[in-house]
Amino acid sequence: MIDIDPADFPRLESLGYEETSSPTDEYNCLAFAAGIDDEWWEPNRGVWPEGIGEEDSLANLIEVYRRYGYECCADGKLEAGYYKIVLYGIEHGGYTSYEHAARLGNDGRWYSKLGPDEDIAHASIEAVEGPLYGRALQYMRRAIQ
Amino acid sequence: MIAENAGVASPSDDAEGRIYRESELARWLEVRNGAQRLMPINDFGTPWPEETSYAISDERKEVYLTYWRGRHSLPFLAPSSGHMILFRSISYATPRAKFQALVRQWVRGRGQSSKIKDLAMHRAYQQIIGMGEQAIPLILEEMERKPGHWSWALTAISGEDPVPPSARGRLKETTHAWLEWGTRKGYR
Repeated sequence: MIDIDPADFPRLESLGYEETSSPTDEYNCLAFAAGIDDEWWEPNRGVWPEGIGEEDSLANLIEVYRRYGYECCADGKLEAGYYKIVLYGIEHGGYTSYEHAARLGNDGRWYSKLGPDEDIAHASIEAVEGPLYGRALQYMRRAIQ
Repeated sequence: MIAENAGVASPSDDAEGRIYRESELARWLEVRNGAQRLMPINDFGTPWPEETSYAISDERKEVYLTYWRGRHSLPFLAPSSGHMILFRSISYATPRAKFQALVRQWVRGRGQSSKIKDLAMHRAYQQIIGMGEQAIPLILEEMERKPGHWSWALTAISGEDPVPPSARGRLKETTHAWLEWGTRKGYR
């Protein structure tokens, strides 16, 4: 059972979530959002495409997903023919770090891998917002082939 | 100035083996004339997290209890000036016992960051690195039992990194590379 700290996720309990996996160090949220369950994406020490900056900036993460066929889009609504993801980050003055990514399921819920802990399904994007993951800052989509 | 103390307070860390409760924390801090004793008063339902650590500010007469699970420091006022706060440090019978306790603390308290660089900053993980070379065979054994993010610690201790760039972020391959390295180096 996942150990949620309300200081990190102040709205998760009230907005609701469902655990959908066992905990594992094998993949993180960034890979999971792209449908990959055997990679940990992180600059310097994880999977990170060549040629993309090694700072943990949201801009770099957007470039990573572009390499996987994603493009920025306006919203997180279900759209026929597309997978959608949302990227969370924290703004530090002029620098925005990425902190989390989640993917939109066919059931309209969002699916997140919480660090090395479990995967969860949550109905609202805001459920995992807070001091740890920051805010939802960018939507992206990829055509289903 | 905050004096950082070595050791971690644990639920059973007193001579009588009592299990203290989180809600008793402020009352724990009562001391008498340098006699340095802990005074649990009431019983409440929430267990004190094992990974709680502490620091004492002599100037402000405050004790900072740090919950590494949430990474929050909560100040508690010491009841009077000039007193010491006693927490008995945990001593471990063997490096293995210490390692296993620290692994438990790390897994429980590391949180849900998506970045290894954050997970590795947890106090227990840093204490494992601080164990030095004696931790290497224990880490390798743990990796074999349950693959996890141990590359950071192994590299920090050994100064080596046998993981090829193509294997980074792939836990099975990373684990395999470290276990082979451990065999070559005589750690397993």
